Amino acid sequence: MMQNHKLLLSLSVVVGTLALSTGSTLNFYEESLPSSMNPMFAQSMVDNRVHELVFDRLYYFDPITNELTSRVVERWELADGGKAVKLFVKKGIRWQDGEALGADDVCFTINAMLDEGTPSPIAEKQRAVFSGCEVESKDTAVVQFTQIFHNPLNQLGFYVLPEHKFESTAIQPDDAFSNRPEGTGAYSGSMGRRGVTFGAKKNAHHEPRIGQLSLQEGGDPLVQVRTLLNNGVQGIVAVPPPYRADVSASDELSLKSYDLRSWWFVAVNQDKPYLKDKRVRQALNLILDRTDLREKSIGVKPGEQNSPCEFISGPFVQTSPYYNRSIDVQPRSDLEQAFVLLEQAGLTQTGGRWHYKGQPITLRIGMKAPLNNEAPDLLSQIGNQLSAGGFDRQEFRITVDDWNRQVLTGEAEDYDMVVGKWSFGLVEDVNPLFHTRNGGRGALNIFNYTNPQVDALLAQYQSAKTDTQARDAYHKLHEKLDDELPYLFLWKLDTKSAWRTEVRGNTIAPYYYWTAVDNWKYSP
Amino acid sequence: MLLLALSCTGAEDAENTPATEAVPSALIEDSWMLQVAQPGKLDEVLAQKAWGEVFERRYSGAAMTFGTESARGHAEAAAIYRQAALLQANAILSTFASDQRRDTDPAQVIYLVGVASVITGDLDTAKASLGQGGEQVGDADAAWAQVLTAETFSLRDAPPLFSLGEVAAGGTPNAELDPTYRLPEAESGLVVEVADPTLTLQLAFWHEDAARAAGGEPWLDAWLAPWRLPLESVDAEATEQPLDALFLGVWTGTADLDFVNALATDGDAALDAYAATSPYAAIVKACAADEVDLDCLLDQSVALGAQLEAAMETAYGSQHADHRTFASFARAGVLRAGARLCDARGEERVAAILRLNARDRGTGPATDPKFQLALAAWDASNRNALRSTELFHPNRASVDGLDVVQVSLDTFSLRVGRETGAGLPQ
Amino acid sequence: MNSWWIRPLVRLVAAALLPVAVPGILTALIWALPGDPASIICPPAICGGTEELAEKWNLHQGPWHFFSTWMKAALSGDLGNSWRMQPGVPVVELIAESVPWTAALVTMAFIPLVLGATGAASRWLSDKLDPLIRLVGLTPSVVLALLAAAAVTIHYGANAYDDDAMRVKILLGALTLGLADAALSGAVTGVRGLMEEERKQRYVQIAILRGESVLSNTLPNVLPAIAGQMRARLLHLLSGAVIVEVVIRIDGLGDLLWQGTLTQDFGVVLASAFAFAILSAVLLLGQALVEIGVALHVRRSPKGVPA
Repeated sequence: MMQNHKLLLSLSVVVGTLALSTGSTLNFYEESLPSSMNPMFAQSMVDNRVHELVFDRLYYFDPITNELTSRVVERWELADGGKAVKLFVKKGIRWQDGEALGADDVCFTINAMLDEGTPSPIAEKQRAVFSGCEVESKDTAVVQFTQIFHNPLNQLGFYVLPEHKFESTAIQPDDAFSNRPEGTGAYSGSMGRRGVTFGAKKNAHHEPRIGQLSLQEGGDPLVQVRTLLNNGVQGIVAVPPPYRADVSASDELSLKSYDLRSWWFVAVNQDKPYLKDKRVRQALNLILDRTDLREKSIGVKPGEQNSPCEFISGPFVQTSPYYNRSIDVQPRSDLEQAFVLLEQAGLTQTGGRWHYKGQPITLRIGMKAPLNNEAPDLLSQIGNQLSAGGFDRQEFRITVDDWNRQVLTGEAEDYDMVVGKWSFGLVEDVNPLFHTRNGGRGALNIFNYTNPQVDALLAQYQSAKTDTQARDAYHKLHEKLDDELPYLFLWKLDTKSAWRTEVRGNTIAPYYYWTAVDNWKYSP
Repeated sequence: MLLLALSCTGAEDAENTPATEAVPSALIEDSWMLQVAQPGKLDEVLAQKAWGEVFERRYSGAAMTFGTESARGHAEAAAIYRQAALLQANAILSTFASDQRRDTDPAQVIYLVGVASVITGDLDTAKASLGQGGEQVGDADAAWAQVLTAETFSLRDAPPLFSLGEVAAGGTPNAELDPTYRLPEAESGLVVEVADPTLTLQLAFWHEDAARAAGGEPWLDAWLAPWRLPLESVDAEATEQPLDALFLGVWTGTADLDFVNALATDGDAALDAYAATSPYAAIVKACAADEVDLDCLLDQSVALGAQLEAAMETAYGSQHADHRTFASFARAGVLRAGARLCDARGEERVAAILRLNARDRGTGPATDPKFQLALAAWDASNRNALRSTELFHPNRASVDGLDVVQVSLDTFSLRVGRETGAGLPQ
Repeated sequence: MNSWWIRPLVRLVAAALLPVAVPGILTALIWALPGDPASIICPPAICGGTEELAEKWNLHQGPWHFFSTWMKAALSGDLGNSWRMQPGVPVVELIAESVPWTAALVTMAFIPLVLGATGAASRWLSDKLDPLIRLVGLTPSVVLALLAAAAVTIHYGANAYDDDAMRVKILLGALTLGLADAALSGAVTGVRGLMEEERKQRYVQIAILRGESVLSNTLPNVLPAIAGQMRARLLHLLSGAVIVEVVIRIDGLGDLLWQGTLTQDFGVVLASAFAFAILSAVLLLGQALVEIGVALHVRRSPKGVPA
């Protein structure tokens, strides 16, 4: 009897411990909630990171060794003289609802991208790469390209979608799949009103060790860091620079690099009559004192070496091969020169305020709301500088939803300027940002900027056969945009994450973040 | 007020947690951290203005300021240029090696492949690639091909293609050199800019010689051993490292450096040989008996940092702002020593994980450019353009003339980026 | 002629019409907004097939078609799907998740009001406390809600939506709702005022002389007024609940309505407003029934004071 009791007690301890360890929840703060959990409709880095948890990319680069590898493809063969690849899908992999993954899912995904009825800018880009896909057998798919690629597997970095969850290949953004997705990734995800919960899903190719992840929208960065220190949350994906010293000062936390190419900008609405003349935009560029902005909003002192925030003069980061290093940055304001330009452009100053055709100019400036956590008060500081330059202004924080629906679709005509951030991985294709919006091109052209010379340069990049041609096109683009200034380019800001040291094995993949999440462990 | 009141509780709990001793205190007694923690010692050391430049990781300037007083600036430069040469070489190979070359690439890139192969230690590929001549590179190509015909080859035999000027302690090499070739690209009519890594190699040797002239013997060989290139010998006699060789460096003392050097030549035997004298060896041995326990190493690196801070506080008499900064070197150092063990065991992946963690632990002044460039070089060898460029960029001003590496990185980054498939800004 | 039935009849009619009128007005508002409703919800730049979407959401045949289809479905329990907040998710699910939180919040906030009203009516709550209760009532609910939100966020961090934290939030939210914005003080002073006025009536003094209880005599007369006051308090709490839920981040009906409005998710806004309208209708119905009950009681008990 005693022995039975002891056995029961031991068993219950073991079961309890197991339950605790598998039931532990890893909580973390993100920049915002995802806008969609459907990879076809990713509109932010938050979306990309969430997709990495729930779905598998056909091929991915190992975050440590950079080896190109696949969790879902067993082996591959070149076909059709190099214009196609035959993929043999691994057996035994299941979707999170239990259905088997097969070649039909691979081809469905490609066909969905090719379907003109799928209103996705991501799919639009892929149409230049793929021409079709054939299901040869349950586990064999032949993927056809539009041309011969030197390393064809590098083109297969897209997320695989489940055919059985959609009625047709024309996938719509309002489908319930956007909130209750089914993937083959390490975690299933379900978006609630406040956050996203992810439940571990063991599979033939995934064995996550943390039972549950919980994504919350991070609010005030001070509160975020304090909550992290108090173990109310275990990680923060993007720690604003002013708070990184607090994280470094604690032995319970570790600051981790998240390699990403992100740059900040102020887009200018050239449809407004007083902003049409490029001299006005050049003047605005000279009114901005980037050094001062950086100091007040990010906390980098002038002259500080090795700062996480580096100025840029064009639509690339300085580490990029496309960055034209002959174009200087503008670290300090030059109000005198700015005023000369404004007068040349026909603006007049009355009572210290600039007027256009006798009417005072009030600049409506918006900023994507979550950016205020990374660069607190940046919007106010920009407003202050413009005010010092003689412009009245109104400042607005733009919600993520409005940003995606209005700003990115070129519908934000009420604003004169908007402050935002773009993030890139290895691919630095800026064509969607500056091309005239038509026929799927210029899909992210904020204020519907249009310039035939810029379009020509972007077309040169698109059709470039050699690396040098592509680079040459973008170097000229940088030079052109430095003159035209559809954007006032601000800076590149390094991204760092903070995690409690109880989180182990937390390798952060460049750009995708969660690629190695199977190895993450959490022992509270 | 409520916010502040509620937020204070976490910090108070942390302060009450007693520090754990990672290693016997005797092992850290002679560390440079404790040496400079003695009252007045740091001020004495910092009277030499060059340390300010070392603190800021500006080693060309530091070398000039040190003059003949210390070889440290030149030694750092010698190590940095070596890793820069390796980074450049790997970038070139990842772009122009036979399996990656495009039909439109200029024919003369084969010369760069040859030189890069020498730097990475692949003499067979080097010999097969060099000696083919070509416009602009012809003379350099012939010079390299010539030296490779010798029966024995040492990197020091590299042809002096660039005239750097006389070696002088506290001096600088000729800064007006341009190792860039502008090669015509087939089809496009455009020019491909490529940089000859021979210059970077020569700069490494120039600074090594200058370090010896500045009094770097006898410690320099042991100090430089971890940074030698594949064709260089890593065998170095264990030598007492003076304070100016250790201060603001990742090895707490001579024993740590000797341990890491011994790992390269003796493998696991170094663990027993140095566990009683080197704090890094003691920790690595405790955490890597059979398999490397990553969590153990990470925890012990934090514990060692805390132990050093506590010891510095005791030595100084109170807390000082520099103590945590100095302890950061050790936090990163433990992991880097662990990585060296993994190198010796051929566990490349685990070594990389440790190095990536060390990258994050070594922040601010504890950022070590030669380490970051070495990691970038490894990444470049794996065609990881994103991380290698991110690692290189903040360190490009650590010594003069590293812009030439950027040329090779740009070409590499361009090649890898354009073949990566479609993507959209987010 | 005795017209006691007019007020309860008006209330019954209002209760019946409210759940129809509110969606009707909202439908009119949707069509009154500039632009095509389907394009507002999903711009063509994002949703290539806006015409198909319009048909899917019954937006393609004008407001009456949309409204009648929606009402028919709503009356059979189908409130449609969320359009923007959580695309594709049935709104019934969202409301079913939200109602318990709002119910708990409002019920707990109502308890001090009921206690206060009872205390005031029976005089066990001294009127000397009125100034203090009024002082507390001066605090805006937003201020108390913000303090509560800060406390919860810092204490619970990312666990602020776990069960424990939600219970604390409900408690703090209920305290906020019940005390702030003159909720409690209004209930106490309002009922006290009613009762004191009624006590001054001659029949009450005569009842006291006859040895009868004051409450049993006054209650039937003041009950309709008290019911009206309590209904008003409840409505006050319901509207205050929107603010409290949003600030303290409780996933209730008010917050759902707010989020739906912010994201222009008309599917959610219509359904949540419909739910609130039904709640109001139930309260109206309750008040009407009280009035009818009192009137019948008065008719059956001629010794009561005639209305």
